[in-house]
This record gives sequence, structure tokens and C-alpha cells, in this order.
Amino acid sequence: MGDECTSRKAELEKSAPIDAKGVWARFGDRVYLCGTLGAAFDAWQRRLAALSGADAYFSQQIGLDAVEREMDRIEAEARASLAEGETLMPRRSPGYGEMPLSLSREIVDRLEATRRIGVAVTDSDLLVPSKSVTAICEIRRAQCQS
Amino acid sequence: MRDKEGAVSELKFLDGGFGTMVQAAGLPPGKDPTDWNIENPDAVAAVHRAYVEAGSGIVLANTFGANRLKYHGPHPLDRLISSAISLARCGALVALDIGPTGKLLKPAGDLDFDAAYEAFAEMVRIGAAAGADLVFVETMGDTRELKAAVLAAKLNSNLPVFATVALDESGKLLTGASVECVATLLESLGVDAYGFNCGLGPDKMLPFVERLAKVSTKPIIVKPNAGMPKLVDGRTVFTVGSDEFAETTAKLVDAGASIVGGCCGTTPAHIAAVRDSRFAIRGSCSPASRTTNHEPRTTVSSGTSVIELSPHQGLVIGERINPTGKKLLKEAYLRGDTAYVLREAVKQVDAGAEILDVNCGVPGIDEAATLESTVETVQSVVTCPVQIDTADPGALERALMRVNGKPLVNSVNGKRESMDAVFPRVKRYGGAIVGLCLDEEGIPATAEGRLAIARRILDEGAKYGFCKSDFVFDALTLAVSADAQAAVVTLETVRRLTEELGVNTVLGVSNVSFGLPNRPALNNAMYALAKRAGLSAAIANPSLIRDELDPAAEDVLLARDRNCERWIAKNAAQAPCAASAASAPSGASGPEALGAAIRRGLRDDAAAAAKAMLDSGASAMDVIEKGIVPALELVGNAFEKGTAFLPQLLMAADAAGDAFAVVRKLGFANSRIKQSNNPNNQTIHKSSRPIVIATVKGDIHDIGKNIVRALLENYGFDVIDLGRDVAPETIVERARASNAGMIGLSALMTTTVGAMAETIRQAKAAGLDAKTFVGGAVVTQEYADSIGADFYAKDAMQSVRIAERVLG
Repeated sequence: MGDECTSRKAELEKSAPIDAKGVWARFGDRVYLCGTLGAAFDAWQRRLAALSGADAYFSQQIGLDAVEREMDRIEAEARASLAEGETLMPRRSPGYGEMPLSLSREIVDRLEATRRIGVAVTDSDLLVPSKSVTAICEIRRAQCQS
Repeated sequence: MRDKEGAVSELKFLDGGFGTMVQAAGLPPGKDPTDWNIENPDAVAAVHRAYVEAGSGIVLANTFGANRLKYHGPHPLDRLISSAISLARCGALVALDIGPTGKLLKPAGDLDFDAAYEAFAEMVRIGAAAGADLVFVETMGDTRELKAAVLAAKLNSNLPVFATVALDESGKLLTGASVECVATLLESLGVDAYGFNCGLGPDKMLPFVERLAKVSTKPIIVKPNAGMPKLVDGRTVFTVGSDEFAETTAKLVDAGASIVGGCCGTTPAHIAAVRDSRFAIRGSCSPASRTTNHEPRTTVSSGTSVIELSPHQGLVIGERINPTGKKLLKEAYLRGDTAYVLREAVKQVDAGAEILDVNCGVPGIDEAATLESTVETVQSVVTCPVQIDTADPGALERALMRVNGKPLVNSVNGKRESMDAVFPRVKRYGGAIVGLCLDEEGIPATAEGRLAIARRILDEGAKYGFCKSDFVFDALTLAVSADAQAAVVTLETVRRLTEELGVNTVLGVSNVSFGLPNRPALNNAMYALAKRAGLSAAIANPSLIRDELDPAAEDVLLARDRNCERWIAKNAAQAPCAASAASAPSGASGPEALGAAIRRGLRDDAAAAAKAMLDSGASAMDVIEKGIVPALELVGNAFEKGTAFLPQLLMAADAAGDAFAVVRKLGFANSRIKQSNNPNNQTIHKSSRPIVIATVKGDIHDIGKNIVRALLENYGFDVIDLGRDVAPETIVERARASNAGMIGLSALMTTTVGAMAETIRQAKAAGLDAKTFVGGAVVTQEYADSIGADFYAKDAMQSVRIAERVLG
């Protein structure tokens, strides 16, 4: 990006209403995770997009970075809770690879993410607010590793 | 309990947690507790009995999730709910318990307000028929869903309505509403008692109860958790024991709560402990004694903010979303184009508007449908409250029901017909009311006459339960060019309404300058004088209105400039067009400077360079053809070669858009280019046919579509943006009605691209000749071909190239 782009993005980042929240829980050998930037971020993005395509784009980048940071944070919490000899495998999200998009609903339901952090699943299996992520990490035990 | 007063006049004990109790009784993990109303009724009844024995005077029936949007089990809802009411009847009052749908309402999510309302209304009808004593709406995290549930209870039964919301640790709902925001809404809806449940333990709830006690005129409900929940191996654990719970709950009662129970993790032991500590509770729990200190306040709210009006405040109500005299807005309404409204909403709030007026009165339009969708559009981008501005009672009713928060209603007047139409509707759905000081005889010429009408409106409103704080009176502004005393009477009316009647006031100030030169200075002077007289709010253009009192303008307004002669002599020679805010950058001029500013994405510099070209004699067409177009082409080509990137392209397009806007303002007279409805108001393209774009049905992610819209507009195309989650038939109808040359469709996910195929199928079946282009994260050339799309746009720039090819 050019200098103007970098400075504009940095300027927007300062005013972004980021209220990141995340929840996770262990279910047997899996950790379910869900993070979101909340409804205010969506409204802020729509507001920027009303006046500027560039700002809409930058806000998208800012949102993606911020929600991933929140996912990293709760993943680290989950990792810290593991027993000795357990390893948390990389997180995978519904809609990517073999994991169906419809799995998001199960993650949201089991974590009670709608009540706890305001994340819901639409009829077409999309997450709202839009800057929300669901993921699953497998837990491997030491004896399973070669 | 049928006697509402009796239900809330003394300390009442609610029950505690239900889910944890039935789980302890053997409900399997993952099993919906609602099913046990049919499958294990004895266990459900036993929980209720335990709470009644512990002291609960009101128990919540096992209907929390028994709405058709959430419940997907095998039993019919009427059986589930009737059974639940019957099982709860064991010596206490029985509440029909209404929890959230589990979905997010528009605009945050995809659920229509009407679908939520209907789901709750169905519960209320069944519950009331089964003999429920009251309706208890609880655990709400969104003010719009809360409103749907409360209205469903009010409009489908005569039962008392209690409502509680779940706060987070910052004291807000998940959708961002504060304690005061919730209070403003629920007071306005007329619930019988309200407060908080779930989310927090009693200690963390305390500061929020203290805040609520400062603004609530109703009994306060608290139903805290047994501490903060923790998930341990998939199970929720609460750690606060019954004694500690009772001790901290007593503090909540001291702070003003009078209806007390528990939520998650609490048990009959917790409720019994609270009951046994009741004699240790100090202070008054009587809502009557608590609320007598409250000064009535005039408030309006949105989903996240509250605005209080007060004398001399002069807050600005943005007037720009009103089609009177605005051809482009009229066209936007008729075409279903949301972009114009979005821009006006954001610009006005950025310029300082604290409330936005929304008016959709265009002949030949479905005003009720347009007002409803425009209010929703505005509330999707700005957080300020809205003023619903309509003379159509049907449109008012529809918008009042669905607006998020407590709106200002513009307006009622002293005519019998107006009061009969407006008062019952506002009473039903909530709102503050603008009262116009006119009646069947017209606008009185004197302040005394206008005050008499205001008093009559207050008296009639009182019959519906409205008090002074529910009104904001419009003293009415008339043109001083027609009547030299017009402003004097208006200002006197404002002063007397404020001082004698003790009400808030509002004015549409700009009428005062009609027919005179230099209107902004006169409007500012009127605003300044009215504020000093007591004005609470001005309906005005926030970009122009200032508290500035030009002595010469004051002379006009106070009838000291006969026939406005001095004012006209002084101002008539002024250019009619206000100078642009843009100023030329030092040392830069000509198309080279404009091109450089656009290429670098410098919006202010691009606007200034365009102005400099026009000032130095260039035609509008010169600015476009020699400055804007070559620069956009250069950046567009660089993007396609991979030497520039999307953000640079978009910034350049934004800068070009601002240069276009200057050409529109200052170069319009000598422009050979034709009008369109894009923000630049003109197009450089040959075709007059617009491009209709939308995110397809079921898809609410619209940033990609918005980027495409911005780029197409800044390249000079006429774009009709229908928004997101748009049904195929709406897209086809709008494309047909506008004679669109192209239809652009966006979809993000595999689950929504099906709607893209259906839209194209319907467009072809309708015989439209518009070319279709599709894009989005999961869309490919192969998929575009398979659904019969004419073009696949891999990115926003590709959309521009396709449009150039199709529309020229």
C-alpha cells in the first residue's frame, strides 16, 4: 500500500469501535471457540461504506485483524488450561476445508454464544455480527503422538 | 395479580434458576427443558413447588424457549405452553416466561421484526388463554427484540408486563444499549416493572441498579446469577452460595429493587435465604416513595443512545432526509435506492445532528413501506434517535412499531382529527411528540393564540396519560418577508412555552428566511435568538446552522428593518452560490494537479484542484475529461497490471468522487454532462440506463457490494443500490421499473449463491434485457456460467470494466 493508504488505515484504526469478546469451552477432546467484534463494528463499517469505498475496504482489514487477535487470545486461554501431555492443534473454522459451514450453529449453541457474546447464526448459516468467527481445535494427547 | 398495582406495590419474591434445577433432576445434556412440560411434568411441577415453598410469590412457567423460532422439538407449542402454565400453578402467581428467539433482528442480523413479534404474540395468546397472571420478558440482549416481545405482550393480552434485560460487565446489552437506553424504551412502552436478570451476579449488578433507580419510575426487578458463570468441561458452574447471594441481594433492594429473585445457578435455597434476610433490608422498597423525587424528563432513544431535551439546548434535528424540494431524494425513494439515504444520514450526524428527521412523503409512493424501510436503513448506519415525520396515520403506526428505541413523532396539532389519530398510536408504541401550535383555524397570529393551542394539546394528551415531558412544542416559523412580525411572534411563543408552560420547544428555523437573500445568516440569527428564548431543538441542516447573531439579521427578525430594505440592499449583490469549502493547494493548478491528487487519493486536494480549474475558466467537461478521467484510467490500468492495489484504486476513486462533486456544485451551469442520481450527480457515460446492485437474499454481508457501488459511482455510473438480503422478485421489479441496463449481484457464501441463480432465472423469465454480472468470495467464472450470468466480476475494478463495455 502507498503512504496515503497506510496513514488512512492507521487513522481509521484509532476510531474503530472494537469491543472484542470471545468464549471457549472444552468438550471432550475438542475445544470450541467463538469470537466477535460485536454489532457496533458492523454499524461503523456500514457508516464508512456510505461515504467511501476505500474506508470500507480498510475497515474490512481492520476487522479481520481484530477478530483474529481475539481468537488468538481465547485460543491461548484454552491452551493454558490443558493438562500436561495435551497439545492443542491449530484451529479450524467451519466453511474451510472439510468442515461444513453448518457446524457454526453447533458451536454457537454449545457455547451459548448468542446469550453470552451476542453471536447468532442466520438461516443461511452466516454468523452475525459479521466480524465473528467460530472454530474448533482438536486436543491430542502425548501418547497419541509418534 | 389482575390488579396491576397489587402486583408491584410491595417487595415481591420471584423464583430462581430453572435449567440448573431440571438438569439436577435428570434432564440429559442437550435436551430442551421445554420438552419436559409434556414428557416429565412431575419434575417441572416439583421445581415450581420448591420455589413456592422457599418464598417465591411469582414463578416463571417453563416457557423461556417456547417460541416457534427457537423451539424445534416434537410437541405443539399450544400444548407445551398450556401445560407449563398449569404445572406452575402451585400457590404463587404464574408468569408466562418469554426469552429471546436466539436470532439477531435486522439490521444487526437477519430476523424481521414482524417475525419476532409474531413468534412472541403466539406465545402470549396461548399463555393468556391458559391463565397466566402476567407476562415476564427476560434475558433480552437487544432493544429491538425487547420491544417486539413487550409489544406482543401488550397488544395480545391485558396482563401486566414485566421485562428484564441481560447486561454485560460494562452495564450494556450485547447490542450496545446502556441502562438508561433500556429505561427510556421500557418507560415509553409502558411496562409495569422492569430491571435486570442473568449475565451478572448481584454484586456486579449493584451499580447498574443504582443507575436505574435514578431514571426509573417503575418497580425495579433484579434476578441475578449466583455469581459469574464459568464453563468447565462444557458445563456451566456458578459459585456464589445462598448466604452470600442473600447478603448482596439485600444491597440491591437498598438501591431500589423491589421485585427480587435469582437466575442461573440459583436454587430454592438462594431464594429462601433472600426471603429470610428481608427483615434485615434497610430503606424503602416502595417504588412509589422511590420515584417521587424524579423530575420528568423529555427523552428519545435509539438502540444504543439516549438524548434528553432541555430548554436553551438548541440541539439539531437533521432535516435532510425529507424529499420536500429534493429531487434526488424523491428519485431515490421511487427507485428503492438506499445509498442516498445512507449518505445523508452519515453526513448529518458527522456535521453534528443529534436526532435525524425521516420523512418519505412523496406522491405516488407507498409511504408506510418506504418510511419503515428508510428508518431501518438510517438506523443501520447511525446511532442517534430518529424523528418519524409523517401525516399518514398508517405510516406512523407501522414505523412506530418497528423503529428501534423511542422516537420523536412529528407531529400532532390542535385539530381534533390529528389528536385522535396520533395520541392512541404513540400511547401504544411509545414516543415523544412534537406538538404544532395550529388547529382547524390555522396558525394563530399571536403568541397567546399559539399557547392556547399548546394547552389544548396538553389537556387532550393528558386523557391518554401523556404529561408535559412527553411533548416538544413547535412554535412555528413563518417567513419575515411576508410578515415583518413573524419572527417576533415565534420567539415570543418559544419564550412563553418555555417559561409559562414549562415544556420543551422545537422550530424549523429556515422558513424564516424564505424569499430573502443570504438565508444562512438569517437562519443562524433566528437559531441564536430562539436559543436565548428557550429553544430546545432546531430542525435544520446541521452543516449550515450556527449560533451566530449578525446584528443586521437581528434587525430583520425583530422587525427593525422596514420591509427588510437594509438587508436586501446589503445582501442582494451576493453570489447565490456559497463558496466551496475546498481551497486550491498552494502552487498547484490545472489538470496535472487534479490528476496527481486523484492518483494519490487525496480527497481534499482533488476537490480543491477541481475548484481551481473551474475558477480559472475551465469548463466542467474540461475538468472531467482532462483531469478526472485520465487519472482514474491510469490508476485502473495500474491495478489491472498489478502495480497498484485495491486500496489505492479505491482511494483514487473517492478523490475522483469529491472532484466530481465540486464540478456538480460550481460547474453545473456550463456543464454539458447529464444528470443522474449518483452522488456526483452526473455521468461521463453515454447510456442513461442505471445499474441495479444488491446483495442477494439470505446474505447480509455487504462490504464487497458497497465497494463495487463506490467504484462504479466514482467512475460516473448511475447506480441503484438496493441494499442487502434482497429478494429476487424485488431486484427484478426494481430493475424493470428503472429500465436498468445492468444487474449486479453479490453473495459471500455457498449457502447464499443459490439466491443469485434464482434472481438471474427470474430476471430472464421476466424478459429483462439487463446484463447480469455476479461476484463474491465463493463465486467463480464456472459458477457464473452455470447460472447463466452474463459476466463474472472477479473484483470491483472488473465491475467497472464490464459496465464500460455494456453501457459505454
